[in-house]
Amino acid sequence: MVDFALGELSQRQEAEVHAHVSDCRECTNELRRLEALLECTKRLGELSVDNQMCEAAKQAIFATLENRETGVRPRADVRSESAWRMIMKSPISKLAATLTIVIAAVLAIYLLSTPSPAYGIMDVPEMLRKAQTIHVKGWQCANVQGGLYDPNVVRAGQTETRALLEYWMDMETGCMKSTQPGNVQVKEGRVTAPVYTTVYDGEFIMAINDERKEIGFSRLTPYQQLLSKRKSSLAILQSMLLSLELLDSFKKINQERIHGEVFDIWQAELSAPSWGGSQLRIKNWVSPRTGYVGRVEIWRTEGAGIWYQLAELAEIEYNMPLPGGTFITEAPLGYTTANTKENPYVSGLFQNRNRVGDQTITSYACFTLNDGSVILGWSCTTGWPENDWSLDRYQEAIFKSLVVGGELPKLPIEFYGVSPIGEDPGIEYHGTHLSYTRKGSILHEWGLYVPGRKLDKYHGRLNYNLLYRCNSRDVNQKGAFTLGETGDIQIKTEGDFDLYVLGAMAELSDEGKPPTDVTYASVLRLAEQIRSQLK
Amino acid sequence: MPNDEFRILVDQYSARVLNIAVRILGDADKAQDVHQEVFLAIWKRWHKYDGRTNWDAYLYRATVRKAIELARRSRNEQSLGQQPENATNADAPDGPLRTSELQQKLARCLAKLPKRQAEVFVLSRMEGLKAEKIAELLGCSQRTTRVHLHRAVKRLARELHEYLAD
Repeated sequence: MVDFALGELSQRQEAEVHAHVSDCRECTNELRRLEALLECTKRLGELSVDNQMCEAAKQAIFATLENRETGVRPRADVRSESAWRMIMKSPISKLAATLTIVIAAVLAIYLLSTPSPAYGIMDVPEMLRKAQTIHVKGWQCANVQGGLYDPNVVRAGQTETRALLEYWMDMETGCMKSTQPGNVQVKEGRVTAPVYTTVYDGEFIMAINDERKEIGFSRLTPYQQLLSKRKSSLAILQSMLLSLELLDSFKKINQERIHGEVFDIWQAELSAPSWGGSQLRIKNWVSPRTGYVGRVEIWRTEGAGIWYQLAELAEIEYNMPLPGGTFITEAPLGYTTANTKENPYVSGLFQNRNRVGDQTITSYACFTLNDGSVILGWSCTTGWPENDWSLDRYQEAIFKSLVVGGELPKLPIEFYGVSPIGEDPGIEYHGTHLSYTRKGSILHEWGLYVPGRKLDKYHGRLNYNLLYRCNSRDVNQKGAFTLGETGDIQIKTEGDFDLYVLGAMAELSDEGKPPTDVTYASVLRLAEQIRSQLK
Repeated sequence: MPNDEFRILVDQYSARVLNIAVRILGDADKAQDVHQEVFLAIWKRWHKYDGRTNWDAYLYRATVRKAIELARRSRNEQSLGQQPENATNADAPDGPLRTSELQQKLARCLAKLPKRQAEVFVLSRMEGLKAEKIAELLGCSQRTTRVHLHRAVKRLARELHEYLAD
């Protein structure tokens, strides 16, 4: 009906709708309402301001800029009479005008009498999530082949390794443009740090290799688009905090002004054994007034008290209008394209993949429910799933024998439990079978992992260690893989559950549908049951 | 002090910015606020523009965003004051008055829409732009544009149900 009202149907379709509408009272009424809406909108579209108001508005801009130093902000004092009268004719407007003045007065008194809250480092994730747009610009020492931030390059203070780091993000739509350094190359003694740009327009991702002048396209499925939107703030968060688990370690060390505004400086340090036992230091400038981060620095030392700077985000803007065309995914002139939007690469849903022997264990999606229990989708395949399309037939029998609330499938490797990182250390969540789905040749287990006791605290930003063990006679191995940078998804309502958990199950099934017996209520019931047994 | 290039930009685009804002907000005073915010934001970053900026696209988008943002703020202020939603129903307004009331309601409902839906709706139905142009301005596909428009119309019709004649 909407398409009909918008005039977007073909002649044949229009005729069909006409025929139906003439016989259906309900549709006739709906059509009338839609037409009234569009007519009203059209009339609004005909409104325009007069020259007098336009001139006054222009002069107000110039006067404002000329009076900047005195802080005066002149306004145009001529109103469009027609528009103003139209609005003030309505009694609701008069009431609104009066109310606005009363509210403003009440708010002013309230604000004067209440101390304003001071934001700290713990508020940063939430403030970022609330922002509409974010722009971050700075530099980062480029990666060196074979390892991050090669100490030999950085120690030598070779500033050539400093490469542009920039993000543009629309938090509401999830659209993003990022520019990041690639691997450093050393040619004839000269260090170069190539830069790569990625643009995501809400559906397509365009990867640009500026050095080779190449473009490649990939496309996210509707479910992946949903996830990407949900997790849009994570990339920025990680560039500012390095790791969410560090939040608790930050300490306020000083205060500084940036462009006249006071910022608290928060600092955290962590040891990085994988980088030769060196230490990292992250400094965040957080405005106690707004909760926004105004500057970030990352440093490293290998001891002896000498610190080398690895990255700096010095230009951070929030809620600014985005320049037109920021998220356009059209190949620039002069670039060759590896593929087009018509035949894009479509990536499957997966989070982390690890190999033990000839077996690959893959985690696909992880959800933390309101009661603290976790749903994890995973699979175990022989070889890499992309290369080995022959179904591990022995798995069919294993999966068919599974019972809801019973043991997880005894595959060559299994994720038998999960354990949160950074909080409640040591606690292991007990894994049981919830359901399974099948896509192509791969069977996916959906395990429910329940903590044996009430958690001390839950900040809603958990990352997990996925605990694995090998079940084959030849390999007796146990260990843990981390969930990965993208973390979990919090499920707070039944709506969230249907959208994200059942959405993931549908994404990983041949029919595109989730199992019919999995519901929010049934999962919470099962978790409660398991928890009482564990006690 | 604003330079000549900036003055030319303000001269050239002021009417368009004001028109878009007044159409969305139905309020000349607020439209002027949007006009100021948009151009002052440009001036603040003026040194960063390199002569290649597509001002048409930039200003369309920035104005729609600012106007919707302002409508949202106004909506929040009104909800703080708990303005009675049915106040005018009791007054049984006549035809023309009812129309302007509907327009105000529409502005308020627009502010409730997801930003992208509201942008597409304004650009398509108020500014009369084609899907191809909107897609270019917003940096998305034409198909996405159509989906947003479809959803916006559906939701607005639902929200304004009692104000749209049966």
